[in-house]
Amino acid sequence: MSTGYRNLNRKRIFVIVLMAIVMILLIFADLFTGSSNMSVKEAIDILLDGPSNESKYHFILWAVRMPMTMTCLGVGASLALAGGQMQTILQNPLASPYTLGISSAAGFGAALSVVTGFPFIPISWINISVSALIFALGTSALIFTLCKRNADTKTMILIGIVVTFLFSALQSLMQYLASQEQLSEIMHWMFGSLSKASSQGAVVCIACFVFIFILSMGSTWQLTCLSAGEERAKSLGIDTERLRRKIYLCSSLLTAVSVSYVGSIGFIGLVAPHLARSYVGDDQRFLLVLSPIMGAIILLAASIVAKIMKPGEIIPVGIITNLVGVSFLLYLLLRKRL
Amino acid sequence: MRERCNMELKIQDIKVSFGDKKVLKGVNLELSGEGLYAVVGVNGTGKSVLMKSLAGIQAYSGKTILTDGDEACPKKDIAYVPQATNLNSSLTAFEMVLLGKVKQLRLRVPDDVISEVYEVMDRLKIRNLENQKFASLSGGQKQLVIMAQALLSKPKLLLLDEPTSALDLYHQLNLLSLAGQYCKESGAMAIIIMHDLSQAARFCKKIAVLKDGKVFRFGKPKEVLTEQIIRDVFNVDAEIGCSGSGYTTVLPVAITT
Repeated sequence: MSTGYRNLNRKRIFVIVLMAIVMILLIFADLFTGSSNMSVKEAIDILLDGPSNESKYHFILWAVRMPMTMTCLGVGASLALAGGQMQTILQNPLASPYTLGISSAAGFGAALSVVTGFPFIPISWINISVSALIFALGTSALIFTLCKRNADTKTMILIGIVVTFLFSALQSLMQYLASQEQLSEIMHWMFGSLSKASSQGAVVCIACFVFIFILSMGSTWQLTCLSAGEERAKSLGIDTERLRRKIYLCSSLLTAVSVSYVGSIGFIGLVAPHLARSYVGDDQRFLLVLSPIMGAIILLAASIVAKIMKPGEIIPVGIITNLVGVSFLLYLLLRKRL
Repeated sequence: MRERCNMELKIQDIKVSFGDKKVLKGVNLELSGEGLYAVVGVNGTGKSVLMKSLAGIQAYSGKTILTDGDEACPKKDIAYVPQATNLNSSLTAFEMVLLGKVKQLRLRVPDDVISEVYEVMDRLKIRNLENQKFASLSGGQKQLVIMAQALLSKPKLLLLDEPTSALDLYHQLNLLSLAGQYCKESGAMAIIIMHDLSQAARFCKKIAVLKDGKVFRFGKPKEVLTEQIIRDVFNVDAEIGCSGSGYTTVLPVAITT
């Protein structure tokens, strides 16, 4: 028996392991990077010590940097997984977690919360996140209901465009009504920032990712069929509309949780799956594993850059991912790897 | 090896419309026994729509009953090879063929399934394409890969929509011989849309001629491929002959005035 296929898969597993190692190294690099004068050796000692309130550095590493790094991991992986799934179910290489308007809905939710105080939870930053989550999930449910009878890709994308325009208009209205201070808060949220990362938020985000990842791994072959085309998948006996609805719900949940937590971090959901696909192809058994790893790598790298670009300040990570994402997307387009 | 099938297909009053346009206006057909059946007709008469309806891709009104002996066949027993594919999948040719076994695949692909994929690729002479991206293949190579995928699923009804349209003579002959051989060995039936009437006569036991969304004639090649029917359906004057091997040949001569 020829071993060509087995060899190809071995190479793919090798790439996945290699990227996982890069991701782990970046986790440590992100933990060791910051404006305090903590040396790498001190940081390693504090990591080995475990969380305690012994020193200022313990607090910085365990209470400030660790939640941010874990947030990078959870959000990067979630957005990349959601992006890969969206590209497959919408059969559109330019699809991303934000294609169907979830990000716009969350953005409006955040702006509404800043201006009106909705949903009136006393803690300000939770208030904004909860409002964003309500609108993101509400919009997902609305699109899901609208597409229940006709879940073809064109209808879904068009509904997504309508939703995006609707919430963009509503958000503009909120910005118009906002005071200068509120406007600044809305803009900061929209940039996508890790500065409000918390342990609880990171745990929710990672738990959500793990749950959806396990659920998605059960549909890898069906998704691979769908990546080979709607008609092909149907003729292979796949219930494409059911599959599309299931995966849409999964990716919506991932996106809603991520966006409502850290704001709209662009391009990861678009670029990470493409990058992963260029290494492991469209076999979703490998793509669903490598995409989240690539997403986490990109966000961790962006986080490190955001910390060292302007010492003493953390530039919103969304700005970095947008800058890197645009250049990378252009590179992919010019190399015709889409 | 599984038991030979005893196939029967009844197509009853299939109708398909796109908006106001009625494409299929009540197709009735009864096919019985293994072998290749051809569907011929002018462009736009609904041949591909009929195939998609049988494959379960196109919604239709009417009824199709596919049976193997006394048992009704589930949808998984039908494999469909489309006319042309403009898919740009990043899957390799091997992976594309492998999807023919999608219902049996788990996280690890068993060795015997891999062997089966190589076997069917060998039969279609496409093993050399194994690691090439499907998107990078030529139209003809894509058709062969999809054909291999269809054969791997061991269907009882094989639907081929112009499977030879992008193939050279060698691969045309190889593909049609292979489809015939598969049907003979397994007892399956294959319905093939063809434009080459001589080829239809060479390989198919019966031919259905579609005209204006209905079956105009159905029968053995010698009964159906007459000068009069070809004139009525295709508006072409043709000379009907007989090859040295005894097959009916159709030579189009002029457009009917």
